[in-house]
Amino acid sequence: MASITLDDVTKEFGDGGDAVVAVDDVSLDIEDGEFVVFVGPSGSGKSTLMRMVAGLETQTDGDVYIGDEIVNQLGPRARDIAMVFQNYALYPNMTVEENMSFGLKMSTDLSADEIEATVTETAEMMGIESLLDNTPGELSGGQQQRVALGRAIVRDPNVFLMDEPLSNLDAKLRTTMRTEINRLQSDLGVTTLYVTHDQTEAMTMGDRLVVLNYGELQQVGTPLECFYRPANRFVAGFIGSPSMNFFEGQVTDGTLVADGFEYALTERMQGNVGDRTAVTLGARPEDYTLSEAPTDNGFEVVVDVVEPMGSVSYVYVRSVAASHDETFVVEIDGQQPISEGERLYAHAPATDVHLFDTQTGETIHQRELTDDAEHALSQPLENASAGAD
Amino acid sequence: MSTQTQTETTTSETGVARLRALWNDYLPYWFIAPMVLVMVLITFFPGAYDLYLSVIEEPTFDVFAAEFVGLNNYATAFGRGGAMHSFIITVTVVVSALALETVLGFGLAALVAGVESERLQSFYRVLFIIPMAVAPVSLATIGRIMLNSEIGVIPYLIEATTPFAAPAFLSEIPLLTVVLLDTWNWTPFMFIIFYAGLSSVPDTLIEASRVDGAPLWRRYLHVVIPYMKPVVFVATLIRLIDLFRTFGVVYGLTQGGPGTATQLVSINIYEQMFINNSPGVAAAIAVVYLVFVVAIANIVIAKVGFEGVWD
Repeated sequence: MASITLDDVTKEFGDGGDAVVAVDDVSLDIEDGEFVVFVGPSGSGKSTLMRMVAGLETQTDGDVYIGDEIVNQLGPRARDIAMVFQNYALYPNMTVEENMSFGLKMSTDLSADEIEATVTETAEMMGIESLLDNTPGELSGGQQQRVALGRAIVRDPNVFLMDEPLSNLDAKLRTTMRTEINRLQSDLGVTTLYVTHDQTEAMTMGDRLVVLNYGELQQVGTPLECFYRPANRFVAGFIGSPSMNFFEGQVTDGTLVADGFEYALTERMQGNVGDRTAVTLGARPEDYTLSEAPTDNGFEVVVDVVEPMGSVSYVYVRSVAASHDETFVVEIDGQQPISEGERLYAHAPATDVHLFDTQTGETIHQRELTDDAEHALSQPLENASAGAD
Repeated sequence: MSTQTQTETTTSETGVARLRALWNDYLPYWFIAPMVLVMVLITFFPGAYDLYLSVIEEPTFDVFAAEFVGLNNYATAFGRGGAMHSFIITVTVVVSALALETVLGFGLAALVAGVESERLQSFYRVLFIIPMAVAPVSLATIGRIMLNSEIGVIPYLIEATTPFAAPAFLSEIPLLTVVLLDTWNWTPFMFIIFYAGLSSVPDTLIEASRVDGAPLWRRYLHVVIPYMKPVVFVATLIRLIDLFRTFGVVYGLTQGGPGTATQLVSINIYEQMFINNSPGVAAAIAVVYLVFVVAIANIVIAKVGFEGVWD
């Protein structure tokens, strides 16, 4: 077991003029036994960050600690880590048993009997004991995934590193394995870094999320913090599905004027906005309501597309007054009757909207929460939001 | 008249229909016919003619007028012709050159694949391939000059940098010299195939073995080489068959000498034919050699198999 500390870590690829900065000055403390999910779009540097912890890449600048030890100069062999790869990376020429025992043979002094006992025990835990004599080529994707997990677990390492381990599985299996990895991690209590671009995995698996974009740290916090208290517009848009709707506007006399509607700001909002004028309003699809009668701050929209999901429907609507034909998403109850071309009033209550500085993208006003939810968020906003400074 | 025309049409239509039926019924055979014809002309016919030459006294204008001598030519080949000696020399050269080329080729490929700079990598790639592009006889000539004990650069370097006297390569250790020259000529072939094979090994597999804590040599032993087994097999098989055909580089270097010390089967055949003017003996050795090489290739394929090809 070990904590992980990243101290001003930077990684550049290439050299001289055409160097690409993959990870830009990231500092992070991960506690012993914590399950931390690195999440971000492609090219955000999340995998590179993990590979630097693994020792598969060497950082251009900064220090990586595992436990209290600086591991900058150590190869993966000396770091006592185990990794699960996206394509599993099982050795095709070895049986499942050989795959699982390879790491123990290479990096421990255990006797052959002890290794066999450990492998059998782990295989039973993973439910793959009947597959031990098969080669990876004979296994299904889900079985290979279990073997890859088993190969990592059997090592009993200080740190688990998982690089998008579920993205090659079908949707149903992914859900099952998600739960299973969660359970295994809490049973074993091993510090785990998990890289994903899937925000469902991010929300459901981690104790904490590390949201990255363009190699820069956007926010570190619990999944609910990132959802309810996004540090900036990027996090607000990335966490949550479907994404938050954003409307750029100008604030004049306590009213936000966007293309297609006007929104009267509350006193608290006005206080947060201060003397900024370029402000972006953000509201999640589930916070909107569609009604037939006009409401305060509501505006007339026309229904473009309806996507019924069963319990809910995603309705793509367009403001009637807007000069463009871009739509935004509203989530409504699946049983509410609605048809394309219909004219309704869209309304997001003042308690639920976020405001962002249009220039910097920073959050300037957070939505309100119920007292219980407020209490549940473990840390205050000031600590949860960490810029890439 | 109209009746007559109709009859004619019917007849020719029947003819066309019959042809079409013939075409359709044997369609697969028609399609492979050109290939079979070419194969017969370039493989089967020369083989059969070789067999014919090996059992007659000497070729005559009328092929049926030639004197049939049974297995006499074979007896001569393995008696005075020194065919057995040539076989032993050939197998020695083939086995040692193949081993050297495989090991060196793999080593070089692994080294070059490990070079980080792209530019340096392509430089080494070109550098190591050059010997393969030189014609065998030119290479032999270059070799003769470089190994010459009076003016050669290699004896000079050995004497200048080591306390040992340079051996007379072509007279004292001719067989080793032949093996080394062929290694120089053909290691690039192994290098380029292994280099391509190495780049097909998935990066994550290497990374997984690094995370598992395998040191470099174990990574090669347990992960890279098993993964490359099909590539290694195909490369050595091609090289094996090709080595049995070696002629130019050895003939250019030693003419099979001194004496018959480096007289490969191919050189023996050549000398029986063009120096001793014994086409029958040459053909007899060639027939045995053909059977020998085909048998070896088949044994290798049967024993090793093409297994180990992973999806």
